Amino acid sequence: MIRKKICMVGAFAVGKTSLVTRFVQSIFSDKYLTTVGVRIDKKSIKLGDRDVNLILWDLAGDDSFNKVRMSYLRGASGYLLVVDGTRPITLDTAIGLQKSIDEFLGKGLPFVLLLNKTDMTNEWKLEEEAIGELLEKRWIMMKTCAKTGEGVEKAFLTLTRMMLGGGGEEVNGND
Amino acid sequence: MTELDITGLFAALDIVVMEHIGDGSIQVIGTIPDWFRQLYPNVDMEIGRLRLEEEFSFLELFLNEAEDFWMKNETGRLTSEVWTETDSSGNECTLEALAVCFRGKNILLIESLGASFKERHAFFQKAKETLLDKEVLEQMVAERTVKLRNTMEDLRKALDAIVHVLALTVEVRDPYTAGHQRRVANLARTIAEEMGLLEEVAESIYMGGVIHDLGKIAVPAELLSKPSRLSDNEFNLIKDHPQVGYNILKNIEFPWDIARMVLQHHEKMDGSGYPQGLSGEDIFLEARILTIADIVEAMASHRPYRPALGIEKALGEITQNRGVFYDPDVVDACVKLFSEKGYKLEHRFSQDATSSERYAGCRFARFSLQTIK
Repeated sequence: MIRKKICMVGAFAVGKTSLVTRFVQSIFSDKYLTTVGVRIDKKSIKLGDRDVNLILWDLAGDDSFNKVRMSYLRGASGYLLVVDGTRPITLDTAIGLQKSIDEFLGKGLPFVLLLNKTDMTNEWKLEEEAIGELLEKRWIMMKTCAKTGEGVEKAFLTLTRMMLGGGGEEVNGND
Repeated sequence: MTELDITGLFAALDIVVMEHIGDGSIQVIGTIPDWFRQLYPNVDMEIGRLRLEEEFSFLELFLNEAEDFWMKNETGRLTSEVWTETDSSGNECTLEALAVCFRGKNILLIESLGASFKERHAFFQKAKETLLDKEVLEQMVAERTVKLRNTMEDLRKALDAIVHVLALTVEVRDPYTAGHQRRVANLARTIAEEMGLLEEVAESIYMGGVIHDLGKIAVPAELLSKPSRLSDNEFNLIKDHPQVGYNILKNIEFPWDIARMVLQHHEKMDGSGYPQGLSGEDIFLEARILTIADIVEAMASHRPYRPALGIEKALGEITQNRGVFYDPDVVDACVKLFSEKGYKLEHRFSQDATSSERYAGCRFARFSLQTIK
Protein backbone atom coordinates (compact mmCIF):
# COMPACT_ATOMS: atom_id res chain seq x y z
CA MET A 1 0.00 0.00 0.00
CA ILE A 2 1.22 3.49 -0.84
CA ARG A 3 1.69 5.79 2.18
CA LYS A 4 1.56 9.53 1.70
CA LYS A 5 1.89 12.32 4.23
CA ILE A 6 -0.29 15.39 3.74
CA CYS A 7 0.05 18.52 5.88
CA MET A 8 -2.78 20.92 6.61
CA VAL A 9 -1.36 24.45 6.70
CA GLY A 10 -2.88 27.88 7.19
CA ALA A 11 -3.75 30.63 9.64
CA PHE A 12 -5.49 29.74 12.88
CA ALA A 13 -9.23 29.08 12.90
CA VAL A 14 -9.56 28.66 9.15
CA GLY A 15 -11.00 25.16 9.52
CA LYS A 16 -8.04 22.83 8.95
CA THR A 17 -9.05 20.41 11.70
CA SER A 18 -12.69 20.54 10.64
CA LEU A 19 -11.72 19.64 7.09
CA VAL A 20 -9.73 16.63 8.29
CA THR A 21 -12.52 15.56 10.63
CA ARG A 22 -15.05 15.87 7.82
CA PHE A 23 -12.81 13.87 5.50
CA VAL A 24 -11.87 11.15 7.98
CA GLN A 25 -14.98 10.84 10.12
CA SER A 26 -17.64 12.62 8.05
CA ILE A 27 -18.62 14.77 11.01
CA PHE A 28 -18.52 18.49 11.81
CA SER A 29 -18.74 20.53 14.96
CA ASP A 30 -19.50 24.25 15.03
CA LYS A 31 -17.41 24.68 18.16
CA TYR A 32 -13.97 26.08 17.51
CA LEU A 33 -11.31 23.96 19.18
CA THR A 34 -7.79 25.14 18.63
CA THR A 35 -5.11 22.66 17.68
CA VAL A 36 -2.06 22.59 19.89
CA GLY A 37 1.02 21.16 18.23
CA VAL A 38 0.03 18.60 15.64
CA ARG A 39 -2.92 16.27 15.16
CA ILE A 40 -2.23 13.13 13.19
CA ASP A 41 -5.01 11.22 11.49
CA LYS A 42 -5.04 8.46 8.95
CA LYS A 43 -7.35 7.60 6.12
CA SER A 44 -7.12 4.96 3.46
CA ILE A 45 -8.50 5.81 0.05
CA LYS A 46 -8.71 4.10 -3.26
CA LEU A 47 -7.62 6.09 -6.25
CA GLY A 48 -8.23 4.18 -9.42
CA ASP A 49 -6.73 0.79 -8.75
CA ARG A 50 -4.34 2.08 -6.15
CA ASP A 51 -4.84 1.93 -2.40
CA VAL A 52 -3.33 4.92 -0.67
CA ASN A 53 -2.86 5.32 3.04
CA LEU A 54 -2.93 9.03 3.84
CA ILE A 55 -1.24 10.29 6.98
CA LEU A 56 -2.79 13.66 7.68
CA TRP A 57 -0.73 16.11 9.68
CA ASP A 58 -2.93 18.92 10.89
CA LEU A 59 -0.52 21.64 12.01
CA ALA A 60 -1.50 24.26 14.59
CA GLY A 61 -2.50 27.45 12.80
CA ASP A 62 -0.10 30.26 12.15
CA ASP A 63 -0.61 33.32 14.36
CA SER A 64 1.35 35.85 16.36
CA PHE A 65 1.94 33.32 19.17
CA ASN A 66 2.63 30.26 17.07
CA LYS A 67 4.60 29.98 13.87
CA VAL A 68 4.22 26.89 11.75
CA ARG A 69 7.23 24.61 12.22
CA MET A 70 8.55 24.04 8.75
CA SER A 71 10.32 20.86 9.88
CA TYR A 72 6.90 19.22 10.20
CA LEU A 73 6.62 19.34 6.43
CA ARG A 74 9.61 17.04 6.03
CA GLY A 75 8.51 13.82 4.41
CA ALA A 76 5.24 15.32 3.23
CA SER A 77 4.14 14.52 -0.29
CA GLY A 78 1.88 17.55 -0.46
CA TYR A 79 -0.10 20.03 1.56
CA LEU A 80 -3.44 21.73 1.70
CA LEU A 81 -3.20 25.46 2.21
CA VAL A 82 -6.40 26.57 3.91
CA VAL A 83 -7.98 30.03 3.81
CA ASP A 84 -11.11 31.30 5.56
CA GLY A 85 -13.07 33.18 2.91
CA THR A 86 -14.53 35.51 5.51
CA ARG A 87 -11.08 36.63 6.73
CA PRO A 88 -8.95 38.20 3.99
CA ILE A 89 -5.90 38.25 6.23
CA THR A 90 -5.84 34.44 6.13
CA LEU A 91 -5.14 34.59 2.42
CA ASP A 92 -2.09 36.75 3.13
CA THR A 93 -0.99 34.23 5.73
CA ALA A 94 -1.45 31.37 3.27
CA ILE A 95 0.58 33.14 0.61
CA GLY A 96 3.35 33.79 3.15
CA LEU A 97 3.33 30.18 4.31
CA GLN A 98 3.51 28.87 0.76
CA LYS A 99 6.56 31.04 0.17
CA SER A 100 8.20 29.79 3.37
CA ILE A 101 7.53 26.18 2.43
CA ASP A 102 9.04 26.73 -1.00
CA GLU A 103 12.10 28.25 0.63
CA PHE A 104 12.39 25.46 3.18
CA LEU A 105 11.77 22.45 0.99
CA GLY A 106 12.44 23.82 -2.45
CA LYS A 107 9.79 24.50 -5.03
CA GLY A 108 7.62 21.76 -6.39
CA LEU A 109 5.86 20.23 -3.40
CA PRO A 110 2.25 19.80 -4.59
CA PHE A 111 -0.39 21.83 -2.82
CA VAL A 112 -3.97 22.93 -3.23
CA LEU A 113 -5.34 26.20 -1.91
CA LEU A 114 -8.68 25.67 -0.22
CA LEU A 115 -11.06 28.61 0.09
CA ASN A 116 -13.00 27.28 3.03
CA LYS A 117 -16.38 28.13 4.58
CA THR A 118 -18.51 28.30 1.44
CA ASP A 119 -21.58 28.14 3.67
CA MET A 120 -20.80 31.79 4.47
CA THR A 121 -20.03 33.10 0.99
CA ASN A 122 -22.28 36.10 1.64
CA GLU A 123 -19.68 37.13 4.22
CA TRP A 124 -16.63 36.42 2.08
CA LYS A 125 -14.24 39.29 1.81
CA LEU A 126 -11.49 37.94 -0.42
CA GLU A 127 -10.43 40.32 -3.14
CA GLU A 128 -11.00 39.00 -6.62
CA GLU A 129 -7.79 40.63 -7.73
CA ALA A 130 -5.76 38.65 -5.19
CA ILE A 131 -7.41 35.40 -6.24
CA GLY A 132 -6.84 36.30 -9.89
CA GLU A 133 -3.13 36.78 -9.25
CA LEU A 134 -2.87 33.30 -7.75
CA LEU A 135 -4.76 31.77 -10.64
CA GLU A 136 -2.30 33.45 -12.97
CA LYS A 137 0.46 31.70 -11.04
CA ARG A 138 -1.34 28.45 -11.83
CA TRP A 139 -2.22 27.75 -8.22
CA ILE A 140 -4.79 25.00 -7.87
CA MET A 141 -7.73 26.37 -5.91
CA MET A 142 -10.87 24.78 -4.63
CA LYS A 143 -13.81 25.96 -2.58
CA THR A 144 -14.64 23.81 0.40
CA CYS A 145 -16.96 23.68 3.34
CA ALA A 146 -16.23 21.42 6.28
CA LYS A 147 -19.71 22.15 7.59
CA THR A 148 -21.60 20.86 4.55
CA GLY A 149 -18.83 18.68 3.19
CA GLU A 150 -18.80 20.57 -0.10
CA GLY A 151 -15.59 19.96 -2.00
CA VAL A 152 -13.80 18.30 0.93
CA GLU A 153 -13.32 14.81 -0.46
CA LYS A 154 -12.55 16.22 -3.86
CA ALA A 155 -9.85 18.44 -2.37
CA PHE A 156 -8.04 15.55 -0.71
CA LEU A 157 -8.41 13.35 -3.79
CA THR A 158 -7.14 16.10 -6.04
CA LEU A 159 -4.05 16.61 -3.92
CA THR A 160 -3.46 12.88 -3.69
CA ARG A 161 -3.72 12.59 -7.45
CA MET A 162 -1.19 15.42 -7.79
CA MET A 163 1.11 13.73 -5.28
CA LEU A 164 0.95 10.54 -7.29
CA GLY A 165 1.97 12.38 -10.39
CA GLY A 166 -1.38 13.34 -11.87
CA GLY A 167 -2.46 16.92 -12.52
CA GLY A 168 -4.93 18.98 -10.59
CA GLU A 169 -5.44 21.72 -13.11
CA GLU A 170 -8.79 20.43 -14.26
CA VAL A 171 -10.21 21.29 -10.87
CA ASN A 172 -9.94 25.07 -11.17
CA GLY A 173 -13.17 26.71 -12.11
CA ASN A 174 -15.25 23.61 -11.57
CA ASP A 175 -16.05 24.25 -7.95
CA MET B 1 18.50 3.48 42.34
CA THR B 2 18.63 0.18 40.43
CA GLU B 3 17.56 -0.27 36.84
CA LEU B 4 14.56 -2.20 38.12
CA ASP B 5 13.60 0.74 40.28
CA ILE B 6 13.78 3.13 37.34
CA THR B 7 11.65 1.09 34.98
CA GLY B 8 9.22 0.50 37.83
CA LEU B 9 9.05 4.22 38.42
CA PHE B 10 8.29 4.96 34.76
CA ALA B 11 5.70 2.16 34.68
CA ALA B 12 4.04 3.79 37.66
CA LEU B 13 4.13 7.13 35.83
CA ASP B 14 2.64 5.49 32.72
CA ILE B 15 5.57 6.65 30.63
CA VAL B 16 7.10 4.69 27.76
CA VAL B 17 10.87 4.44 28.08
CA MET B 18 13.04 3.61 25.10
CA GLU B 19 16.74 3.49 24.51
CA HIS B 20 18.10 4.69 21.24
CA ILE B 21 20.25 1.93 19.76
CA GLY B 22 21.25 3.77 16.63
CA ASP B 23 20.45 3.21 13.02
CA GLY B 24 16.92 4.52 13.68
CA SER B 25 16.18 1.68 16.06
CA ILE B 26 15.05 1.90 19.64
CA GLN B 27 14.76 -0.66 22.38
CA VAL B 28 11.73 -0.52 24.64
CA ILE B 29 12.73 -0.67 28.29
CA GLY B 30 10.35 -2.06 30.82
CA THR B 31 6.63 -2.34 30.44
CA ILE B 32 4.75 -0.99 27.44
CA PRO B 33 1.56 0.74 28.60
CA ASP B 34 -1.72 -0.32 27.03
CA TRP B 35 -2.37 3.13 25.62
CA PHE B 36 0.82 2.88 23.60
CA ARG B 37 -0.14 -0.51 22.17
CA GLN B 38 -3.57 0.81 21.25
CA LEU B 39 -2.07 3.76 19.48
CA TYR B 40 0.07 1.58 17.26
CA PRO B 41 -1.88 -1.70 16.98
CA ASN B 42 -0.11 -2.70 13.77
CA VAL B 43 3.29 -2.69 15.41
CA ASP B 44 4.56 -5.85 17.02
CA MET B 45 5.81 -4.56 20.34
CA GLU B 46 6.82 -7.95 21.70
CA ILE B 47 10.08 -8.01 19.80
CA GLY B 48 11.28 -5.16 21.98
CA ARG B 49 13.26 -3.42 19.28
CA LEU B 50 11.39 -0.99 17.07
CA ARG B 51 12.16 1.22 14.15
CA LEU B 52 10.54 4.62 14.51
CA GLU B 53 9.17 4.96 11.02
CA GLU B 54 5.89 4.71 9.14
CA GLU B 55 3.39 4.17 12.00
CA PHE B 56 5.44 6.41 14.26
CA SER B 57 5.47 9.33 11.87
CA PHE B 58 5.77 12.02 14.55
CA LEU B 59 8.41 10.12 16.53
CA GLU B 60 10.36 9.49 13.35
CA LEU B 61 10.64 13.23 12.84
CA PHE B 62 11.42 13.92 16.49
CA LEU B 63 14.09 11.23 16.47
CA ASN B 64 16.00 13.24 13.86
CA GLU B 65 16.16 16.19 16.25
CA ALA B 66 16.90 13.90 19.19
CA GLU B 67 19.81 12.27 17.38
CA ASP B 68 21.37 15.71 16.85
CA PHE B 69 20.79 16.43 20.51
CA TRP B 70 22.40 13.17 21.66
CA MET B 71 25.28 13.56 19.27
CA LYS B 72 26.15 16.88 20.85
CA ASN B 73 26.06 15.09 24.19
CA GLU B 74 24.23 18.03 25.66
CA THR B 75 22.95 18.09 29.17
CA GLY B 76 19.33 18.82 29.92
CA ARG B 77 16.57 17.51 27.75
CA LEU B 78 14.93 18.01 24.41
CA THR B 79 11.14 18.17 24.48
CA SER B 80 8.93 17.72 21.47
CA GLU B 81 5.84 19.76 20.79
CA VAL B 82 2.68 17.96 21.81
CA TRP B 83 0.93 15.86 19.21
CA THR B 84 -2.42 14.13 19.15
CA GLU B 85 -3.23 10.78 17.59
CA THR B 86 -6.31 8.59 17.65
CA ASP B 87 -5.98 5.07 19.01
CA SER B 88 -7.57 1.89 17.70
CA SER B 89 -10.66 2.51 19.84
CA GLY B 90 -11.17 5.98 18.44
CA ASN B 91 -9.90 7.77 21.54
CA GLU B 92 -7.72 10.81 21.11
CA CYS B 93 -4.40 10.65 22.86
CA THR B 94 -2.17 13.69 23.30
CA LEU B 95 1.49 12.88 23.69
CA GLU B 96 4.80 14.50 24.38
CA ALA B 97 8.24 13.06 23.78
CA LEU B 98 11.43 13.83 25.64
CA ALA B 99 15.03 13.01 24.80
CA VAL B 100 17.70 12.83 27.51
CA CYS B 101 21.16 11.41 28.01
CA PHE B 102 21.24 9.21 31.10
CA ARG B 103 24.35 7.35 32.24
CA GLY B 104 25.74 7.46 28.71
CA LYS B 105 22.56 6.11 27.18
CA ASN B 106 20.29 7.95 24.83
CA ILE B 107 16.86 7.72 26.32
CA LEU B 108 13.54 8.59 24.73
CA LEU B 109 10.51 9.05 26.97
CA ILE B 110 6.95 9.26 25.69
CA GLU B 111 4.20 10.46 27.94
CA SER B 112 0.48 10.46 27.39
CA LEU B 113 -0.56 13.82 28.75
CA GLY B 114 -4.14 12.84 29.46
CA ALA B 115 -6.01 15.19 31.77
CA SER B 116 -2.97 17.40 32.36
CA PHE B 117 -3.20 18.53 28.75
CA LYS B 118 -6.68 19.97 29.30
CA GLU B 119 -5.34 22.87 31.31
CA ARG B 120 -2.70 23.63 28.71
CA HIS B 121 -5.27 23.37 25.94
CA ALA B 122 -7.66 25.68 27.78
CA PHE B 123 -4.92 28.30 27.92
CA PHE B 124 -4.27 28.08 24.19
CA GLN B 125 -7.99 27.97 23.45
CA LYS B 126 -8.54 31.20 25.36
CA ALA B 127 -5.56 32.84 23.66
CA LYS B 128 -6.75 31.86 20.18
CA GLU B 129 -10.31 32.99 20.86
CA THR B 130 -8.95 36.33 22.04
CA LEU B 131 -6.83 36.59 18.92
CA LEU B 132 -9.85 35.78 16.78
CA ASP B 133 -11.96 38.43 18.54
CA LYS B 134 -9.15 40.93 18.07
CA GLU B 135 -8.86 40.09 14.40
CA VAL B 136 -12.62 40.41 13.89
CA LEU B 137 -12.57 43.78 15.64
CA GLU B 138 -9.60 44.97 13.61
CA GLN B 139 -11.31 43.90 10.43
CA MET B 140 -14.48 45.69 11.46
CA VAL B 141 -12.54 48.83 12.29
CA ALA B 142 -10.68 48.63 8.97
CA GLU B 143 -13.93 48.23 7.03
CA ARG B 144 -15.60 51.08 8.85
CA THR B 145 -12.55 53.25 8.39
CA VAL B 146 -12.74 52.66 4.65
CA LYS B 147 -16.45 53.47 4.67
CA LEU B 148 -15.86 56.58 6.74
CA ARG B 149 -13.03 57.64 4.44
CA ASN B 150 -15.25 57.14 1.42
CA THR B 151 -18.05 59.11 3.06
CA MET B 152 -15.60 61.88 3.93
CA GLU B 153 -14.35 61.86 0.38
CA ASP B 154 -17.91 62.09 -0.94
CA LEU B 155 -18.64 64.93 1.46
CA ARG B 156 -15.46 66.64 0.44
CA LYS B 157 -16.39 66.36 -3.23
CA ALA B 158 -19.88 67.67 -2.45
CA LEU B 159 -18.32 70.54 -0.54
CA ASP B 160 -15.96 71.34 -3.39
CA ALA B 161 -18.92 71.31 -5.74
CA ILE B 162 -20.90 73.65 -3.48
CA VAL B 163 -17.98 76.06 -3.18
CA HIS B 164 -17.39 76.07 -6.91
CA VAL B 165 -21.09 76.56 -7.63
CA LEU B 166 -21.09 79.52 -5.25
CA ALA B 167 -18.04 80.92 -6.99
CA LEU B 168 -19.71 80.42 -10.34
CA THR B 169 -22.72 82.36 -9.15
CA VAL B 170 -20.56 85.46 -8.82
CA GLU B 171 -18.47 84.76 -11.88
CA VAL B 172 -21.50 84.57 -14.15
CA ARG B 173 -22.19 88.20 -13.33
CA ASP B 174 -18.58 89.28 -13.39
CA PRO B 175 -16.47 86.82 -15.39
CA TYR B 176 -13.18 88.49 -14.44
CA THR B 177 -13.69 87.62 -10.83
CA ALA B 178 -13.27 84.00 -11.83
CA GLY B 179 -9.63 84.34 -12.67
CA HIS B 180 -9.04 86.61 -9.70
CA GLN B 181 -10.66 84.32 -7.14
CA ARG B 182 -8.79 81.27 -8.45
CA ARG B 183 -5.43 83.06 -8.47
CA VAL B 184 -5.99 84.47 -5.00
CA ALA B 185 -6.98 81.00 -3.78
CA ASN B 186 -3.83 79.42 -5.24
CA LEU B 187 -1.51 82.09 -3.91
CA ALA B 188 -3.13 82.10 -0.45
CA ARG B 189 -2.78 78.31 -0.21
CA THR B 190 0.87 78.48 -1.28
CA ILE B 191 1.60 81.22 1.28
CA ALA B 192 -0.02 79.06 3.97
CA GLU B 193 2.14 76.12 2.95
CA GLU B 194 5.23 78.34 2.94
CA MET B 195 4.34 79.41 6.48
CA GLY B 196 4.26 75.74 7.49
CA LEU B 197 0.57 75.66 8.29
CA LEU B 198 -1.18 72.31 8.28
CA GLU B 199 -2.23 70.98 4.91
CA GLU B 200 -5.84 71.07 6.02
CA VAL B 201 -5.56 74.74 6.99
CA ALA B 202 -3.93 75.55 3.66
CA GLU B 203 -6.76 73.74 1.93
CA SER B 204 -9.36 75.70 3.89
CA ILE B 205 -7.68 78.94 2.87
CA TYR B 206 -7.85 77.81 -0.74
CA MET B 207 -11.58 77.18 -0.35
CA GLY B 208 -12.02 80.59 1.24
CA GLY B 209 -10.08 82.16 -1.62
CA VAL B 210 -12.26 80.55 -4.26
CA ILE B 211 -15.36 82.30 -2.89
CA HIS B 212 -13.94 85.29 -1.02
CA ASP B 213 -15.84 87.69 -3.31
CA LEU B 214 -19.15 85.86 -3.06
CA GLY B 215 -20.74 88.98 -1.54
CA LYS B 216 -20.33 90.76 -4.86
CA ILE B 217 -23.52 89.02 -5.85
CA ALA B 218 -25.34 91.84 -4.05
CA VAL B 219 -23.46 94.52 -5.96
CA PRO B 220 -25.27 95.88 -9.04
CA ALA B 221 -23.74 94.41 -12.18
CA GLU B 222 -23.14 97.83 -13.71
CA LEU B 223 -20.92 98.79 -10.78
CA LEU B 224 -18.88 95.64 -11.22
CA SER B 225 -18.08 96.52 -14.80
CA LYS B 226 -17.89 100.31 -14.47
CA PRO B 227 -14.64 101.43 -16.04
CA SER B 228 -14.50 104.85 -14.36
CA ARG B 229 -13.88 105.85 -10.77
CA LEU B 230 -16.67 104.95 -8.31
CA SER B 231 -18.50 107.50 -6.23
CA ASP B 232 -18.45 107.29 -2.43
CA ASN B 233 -21.94 105.80 -2.39
CA GLU B 234 -20.97 103.24 -4.99
CA PHE B 235 -17.83 102.48 -3.04
CA ASN B 236 -19.89 101.99 0.13
CA LEU B 237 -22.11 99.53 -1.71
CA ILE B 238 -19.12 97.50 -2.72
CA LYS B 239 -17.64 97.68 0.79
CA ASP B 240 -20.62 95.63 1.93
CA HIS B 241 -19.48 92.59 -0.03
CA PRO B 242 -17.52 90.89 2.80
CA GLN B 243 -20.53 91.16 5.11
CA VAL B 244 -22.91 89.93 2.40
CA GLY B 245 -20.63 86.99 1.66
CA TYR B 246 -20.45 86.21 5.38
CA ASN B 247 -24.24 86.32 5.72
CA ILE B 248 -24.62 83.84 2.88
CA LEU B 249 -21.99 81.46 4.21
CA LYS B 250 -22.41 81.68 7.97
CA ASN B 251 -25.10 79.02 8.22
CA ILE B 252 -23.35 76.52 6.00
CA GLU B 253 -21.55 73.99 8.15
CA PHE B 254 -18.20 73.88 6.43
CA PRO B 255 -15.48 72.00 8.27
CA TRP B 256 -13.57 75.30 8.30
CA ASP B 257 -14.57 78.85 9.16
CA ILE B 258 -14.79 80.03 5.59
CA ALA B 259 -17.46 82.59 6.47
CA ARG B 260 -15.06 84.38 8.84
CA MET B 261 -12.27 84.36 6.23
CA VAL B 262 -14.64 86.00 3.76
CA LEU B 263 -15.86 88.53 6.33
CA GLN B 264 -12.36 89.64 7.33
CA HIS B 265 -10.42 89.59 4.08
CA HIS B 266 -10.45 93.41 3.85
CA GLU B 267 -9.41 94.04 7.44
CA LYS B 268 -6.03 95.67 8.06
CA MET B 269 -3.58 95.10 10.91
CA ASP B 270 -3.82 98.78 12.01
CA GLY B 271 -7.64 98.68 12.14
CA SER B 272 -8.13 100.78 9.01
CA GLY B 273 -9.86 98.00 7.07
CA TYR B 274 -13.50 97.06 6.75
CA PRO B 275 -16.21 96.03 7.56
CA GLN B 276 -15.43 95.66 11.30
CA GLY B 277 -12.22 97.65 11.59
CA LEU B 278 -10.50 94.78 13.38
CA SER B 279 -6.81 95.01 14.12
CA GLY B 280 -3.80 92.77 14.81
CA GLU B 281 -4.46 89.23 15.84
CA ASP B 282 -8.18 89.90 16.22
CA ILE B 283 -8.12 89.25 12.50
CA PHE B 284 -8.30 85.58 11.66
CA LEU B 285 -4.89 84.35 10.40
CA GLU B 286 -6.54 82.76 7.39
CA ALA B 287 -8.10 86.12 6.56
CA ARG B 288 -4.75 87.91 6.95
CA ILE B 289 -3.31 85.51 4.37
CA LEU B 290 -6.22 86.04 2.01
CA THR B 291 -5.75 89.81 2.32
CA ILE B 292 -2.15 89.62 1.10
CA ALA B 293 -3.01 87.25 -1.73
CA ASP B 294 -5.90 89.51 -2.72
CA ILE B 295 -3.80 92.72 -2.79
CA VAL B 296 -0.88 91.15 -4.64
CA GLU B 297 -3.11 89.55 -7.26
CA ALA B 298 -5.14 92.75 -7.73
CA MET B 299 -2.09 94.98 -8.20
CA ALA B 300 -0.37 92.54 -10.52
CA SER B 301 -3.43 92.20 -12.77
CA HIS B 302 -5.17 94.37 -15.31
CA ARG B 303 -8.09 96.42 -14.07
CA PRO B 304 -10.76 98.30 -16.01
CA TYR B 305 -9.31 101.61 -14.94
CA ARG B 306 -5.61 100.77 -15.34
CA PRO B 307 -3.20 98.26 -16.83
CA ALA B 308 -1.45 95.73 -14.60
CA LEU B 309 1.01 97.34 -12.18
CA GLY B 310 3.23 94.27 -12.08
CA ILE B 311 4.37 91.95 -9.36
CA GLU B 312 7.29 94.18 -8.30
CA LYS B 313 4.93 97.02 -7.37
CA ALA B 314 2.61 94.59 -5.64
CA LEU B 315 5.46 93.19 -3.54
CA GLY B 316 6.68 96.72 -2.89
CA GLU B 317 3.26 97.65 -1.54
CA ILE B 318 3.07 94.79 0.94
CA THR B 319 6.69 95.22 1.98
CA GLN B 320 6.23 98.95 2.55
CA ASN B 321 3.17 98.33 4.71
CA ARG B 322 4.53 95.24 6.41
CA GLY B 323 3.32 95.32 10.01
CA VAL B 324 1.09 98.36 9.28
CA PHE B 325 -1.65 97.00 7.06
CA TYR B 326 -0.33 93.52 6.63
CA ASP B 327 0.77 90.64 8.83
CA PRO B 328 4.61 90.65 8.70
CA ASP B 329 4.90 86.83 8.67
CA VAL B 330 2.47 86.56 5.80
CA VAL B 331 4.29 89.32 3.90
CA ASP B 332 7.64 87.57 4.41
CA ALA B 333 6.25 84.25 3.17
CA CYS B 334 4.68 85.88 0.13
CA VAL B 335 7.78 87.87 -0.82
CA LYS B 336 9.92 84.75 -0.42
CA LEU B 337 7.63 82.82 -2.75
CA PHE B 338 8.04 85.33 -5.56
CA SER B 339 11.62 86.44 -5.01
CA GLU B 340 13.24 83.16 -4.05
CA LYS B 341 10.99 80.37 -5.16
CA GLY B 342 9.90 81.61 -8.54
CA TYR B 343 6.19 81.66 -7.80
CA LYS B 344 4.16 83.11 -10.65
CA LEU B 345 0.57 84.21 -10.82
CA GLU B 346 -1.31 82.46 -13.58
CA HIS B 347 -2.59 85.23 -15.84
CA ARG B 348 -4.88 84.03 -18.55
CA PHE B 349 -6.29 87.48 -19.20
CA SER B 350 -3.30 88.52 -21.20
CA GLN B 351 -3.56 85.62 -23.62
CA ASP B 352 -7.07 84.26 -23.55
CA ALA B 353 -9.43 86.99 -22.53
CA THR B 354 -11.11 89.51 -24.79
CA SER B 355 -10.21 93.15 -24.41
CA SER B 356 -13.50 93.87 -22.68
CA GLU B 357 -12.75 91.12 -20.18
CA ARG B 358 -9.33 92.59 -19.53
CA TYR B 359 -10.92 95.82 -18.45
CA ALA B 360 -13.93 94.41 -16.63
CA GLY B 361 -11.74 93.32 -13.73
CA CYS B 362 -12.79 92.84 -10.15
CA ARG B 363 -14.47 95.79 -8.51
CA PHE B 364 -13.69 94.59 -5.07
CA ALA B 365 -10.02 94.41 -6.00
CA ARG B 366 -10.24 97.97 -7.19
CA PHE B 367 -11.36 98.92 -3.73
CA SER B 368 -8.49 97.08 -2.26
CA LEU B 369 -6.31 99.37 -4.30
CA GLN B 370 -8.30 102.43 -3.38
CA THR B 371 -7.88 101.55 0.25
CA ILE B 372 -4.13 101.31 0.04
CA LYS B 373 -3.66 104.45 -1.99
